[in-house]
Amino acid sequence: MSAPVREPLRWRPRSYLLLGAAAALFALGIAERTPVPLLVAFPLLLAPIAAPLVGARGSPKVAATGVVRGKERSIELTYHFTPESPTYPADLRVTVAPPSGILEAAPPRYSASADTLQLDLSWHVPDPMVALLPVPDVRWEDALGLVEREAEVTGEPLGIERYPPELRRAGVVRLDRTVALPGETRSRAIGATGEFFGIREALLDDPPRQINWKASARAGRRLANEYALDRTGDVLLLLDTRPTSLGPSVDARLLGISRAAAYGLADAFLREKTRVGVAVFGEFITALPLSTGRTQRIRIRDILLATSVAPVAAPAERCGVALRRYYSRGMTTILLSPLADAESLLLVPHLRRRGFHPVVLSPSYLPLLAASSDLVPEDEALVGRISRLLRREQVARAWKDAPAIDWEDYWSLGGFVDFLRRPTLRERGI
Amino acid sequence: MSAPEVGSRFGRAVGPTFALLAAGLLGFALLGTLPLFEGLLVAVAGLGFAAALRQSGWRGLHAYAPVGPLVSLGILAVASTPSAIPALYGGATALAFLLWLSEDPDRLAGGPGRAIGRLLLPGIGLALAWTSSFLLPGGDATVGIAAALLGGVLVLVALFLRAPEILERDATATS
Repeated sequence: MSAPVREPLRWRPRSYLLLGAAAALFALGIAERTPVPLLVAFPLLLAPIAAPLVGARGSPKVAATGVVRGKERSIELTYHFTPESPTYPADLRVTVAPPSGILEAAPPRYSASADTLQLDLSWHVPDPMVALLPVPDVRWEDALGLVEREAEVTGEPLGIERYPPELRRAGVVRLDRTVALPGETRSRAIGATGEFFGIREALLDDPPRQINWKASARAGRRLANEYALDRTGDVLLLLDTRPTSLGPSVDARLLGISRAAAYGLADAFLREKTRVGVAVFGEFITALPLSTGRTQRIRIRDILLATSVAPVAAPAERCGVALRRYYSRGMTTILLSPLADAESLLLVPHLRRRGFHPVVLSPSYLPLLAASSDLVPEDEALVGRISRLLRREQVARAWKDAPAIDWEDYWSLGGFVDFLRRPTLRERGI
Repeated sequence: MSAPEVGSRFGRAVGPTFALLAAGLLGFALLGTLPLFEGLLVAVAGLGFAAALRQSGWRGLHAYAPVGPLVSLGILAVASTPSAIPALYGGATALAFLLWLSEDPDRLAGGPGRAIGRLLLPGIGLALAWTSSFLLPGGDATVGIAAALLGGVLVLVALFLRAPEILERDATATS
């Protein structure tokens, strides 16, 4: 992917400073009839012209590669920029704007070798998030800082996916079957659990339980067991993006957290070859049909990245009616909704009425409201208690129709995953 | 995006090129017609201004650091005696000033090494102007020749500022 070049050559403010100083010296030399200011003016006048003539003529081509590391809240980004000769790597100026919601933990660190400019960035993510980092803007600036050009950068955008680590275990959940046609064949796939299927070379991330130690000892290398896994069903992830009474900024943050959870869940289920569908309900329904595989993961990421808080809240019934056009009834549905007002609570009964059996994962707004409060501690404690009671009452009302999980610690979803993995509890709604 | 971490700010603000610039300005002050104390005061004020701004924690101020030495250079140039040696010394000080610009504390180290090639053209221009002004016979004509050369360069600058694409490489038919 290549960033388009907008303006090939620009004079920097320092050039105008030098030219202004040279013109002033020129005027003074003429007025005083002395050649010294004129001779001092010469280098100042010629330097801005010489700057673009020495070095790359035209936009320099730069190859950019990046790596994202770090766990949970920390993001460590390393970029390498390799310009074509005769551009010096140290003359490149890079701009990487953190996506909204990401904080800079430390200033960027630059280091240059003969061929490559390395940029190390340390960011901090307060909430779970999914974001796509575009190819950075790179400018070439001459060593004197007089002219600059946009560089032609080739590279790929970097994906940033941060969600609670427990979600990785969510994929092994036994899901309800959605298609019960006579003569239907059971789809079999290779997975981490199920019936023994065979032995393969162990991967780095294979858990110790999956390693076949006896076979490894015989072969002299690590071997792991593979299991034939029955695909248990399909899962639908439904995001409620309607605006609430909490206000646009809180709505946007809660939606960002929901997006990250949806992506984490989709990733876990897709890894187990389950078919996953995603529906976004704002003013209307945006539905991604059920599918599986890597392409589906990219489709899901794209649809989640394009999701924002809807301008208008549509009636809850519309969601139930519209969903039936895209998905079969009886499907396991995970609804991600803040449950912040009566209208969002209405969504669950409408879904049940249309034959969906949702499990509600509700990111709580209480931590966000507490962080932005400017009350004195006594008042804040009182407001916190009342808000908590109100929140409990909202979640309890949702429980009448479907199990609802109040998600207050955004970096932990162990309770939710355990709940999903125990089908008896799920069926009873406990 | 915040300022890059590029090593000690003090070391970069008053590095070797700063010493070169200081030598140029102080020497130029000694060659001028200003009283010694006043001349040195002008030079030191410009240098102090530049060093203080480059060491400042506020990055927005760094861009204004070159103004101090430029003003000092201008005052000393007007006050210098109109003869060959001060003129040559003034031009060399202007080159030293350009070299000092390349040692920017907000950029990676090694700027002066990369900037040397870019000083070739200003250096040649200075040498031509100086030889034509002082080594050719003539009285007031020396100022005239220098002014004519300078005027020509000004026209060239205006042309380039208006159409910077002149400096771009032509696209080949196969590219």
